[in-house]
Amino acid sequence: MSNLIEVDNVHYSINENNLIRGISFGLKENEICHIQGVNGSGKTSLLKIILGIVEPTKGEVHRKENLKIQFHGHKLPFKGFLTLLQNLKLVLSEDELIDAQKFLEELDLHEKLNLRFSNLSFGQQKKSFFASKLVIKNTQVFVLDEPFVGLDDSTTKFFQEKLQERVNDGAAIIITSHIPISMPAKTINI
Amino acid sequence: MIKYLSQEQTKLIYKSRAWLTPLILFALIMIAFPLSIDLFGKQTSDLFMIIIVISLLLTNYLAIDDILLEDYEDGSFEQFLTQNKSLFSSVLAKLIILIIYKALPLSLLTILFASVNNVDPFVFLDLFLISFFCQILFLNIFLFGSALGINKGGLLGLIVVMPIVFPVIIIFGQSMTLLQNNSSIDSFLLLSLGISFLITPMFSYLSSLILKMHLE
Repeated sequence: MSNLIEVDNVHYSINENNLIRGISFGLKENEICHIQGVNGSGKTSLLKIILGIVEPTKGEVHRKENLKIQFHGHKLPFKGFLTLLQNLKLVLSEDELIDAQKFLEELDLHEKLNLRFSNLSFGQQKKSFFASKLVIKNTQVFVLDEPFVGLDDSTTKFFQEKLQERVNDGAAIIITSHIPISMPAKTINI
Repeated sequence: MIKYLSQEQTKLIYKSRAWLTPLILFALIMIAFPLSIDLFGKQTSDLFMIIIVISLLLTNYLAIDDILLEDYEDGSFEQFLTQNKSLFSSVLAKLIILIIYKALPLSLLTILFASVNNVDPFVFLDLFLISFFCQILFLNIFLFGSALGINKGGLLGLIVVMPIVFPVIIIFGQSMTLLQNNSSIDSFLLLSLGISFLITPMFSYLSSLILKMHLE
């Protein structure tokens, strides 16, 4: 099976600081890749290189043509002045919106749909954004940067189960997380 | 493109301060500035047209101030890039929605203020068009400035685009004066229309390129 993403001898330097030195790995369908490293080791930079936002100093990243990627980073791009429902409508199709509402019901957030996003707690904001990413259909790769920060244990477990379901359905995941993950994953240390 | 326009429209409609503040500021300047010159309004009819250009300059700067900053800071633009969506289309949609929801009402307000300042109704249409095109140019220039200074503070962007803003103020100020003297400005309006059509996609494209560089 060919790789969805192929990271080939990637180096990355910033301000003369060699953050990433010769990382290589491939990501196939049904696979989870857990990138580990201490703070400031370049995990987020590596994810941005994989996503094509940042160019590597040396090396290459090959992505399968028309690869459908969903990225969950440190920032939550939902608008505080819109309600949760309005935010979901901006980014999801009608089918995905129905799935998202079911998802939010499981997370006890369905009653918050008509509340302004800024009026939700950080954990609730994070849960709802994470849920919106997981319901997007045809996603082949989820790129997740510390997705469980700010979530309680039961919610973390819930999301890991949902992620595992998506992986079983053929998706792949690249994740950075200081919170231990229960999903079987290959580890990349940087 | 229609999806982007619809998204930007939803965002702007619900963000009331984004469209209400420029309209209120424009009204305040148009009411307060003439009063500061002459309480009884005897001299204001001579200065009225010039005040319009300055008011539009200030309100359009305010209108565009955080148009890109919010999406840059909350990671929306990152999401665009990761999903292979066009940053150019998003920026162009923002600009078009601003033109429809801010430039158009402000141009109508200009006519309202012109009518209470004893401006000849014969020039109302020309006044509407000239203030509309003037705003399109201002919005494009400030959008470019906003993209340039996005992570360095809005003032830097303003300083950088000032050399482009000055000729626009002078040219449109002069054309307002011509209009006040009942001179024909038809050819100038046609030229402004052409320039507006040309620079709107061009500045959106340049701004999206600059944004991409900032994201890197």
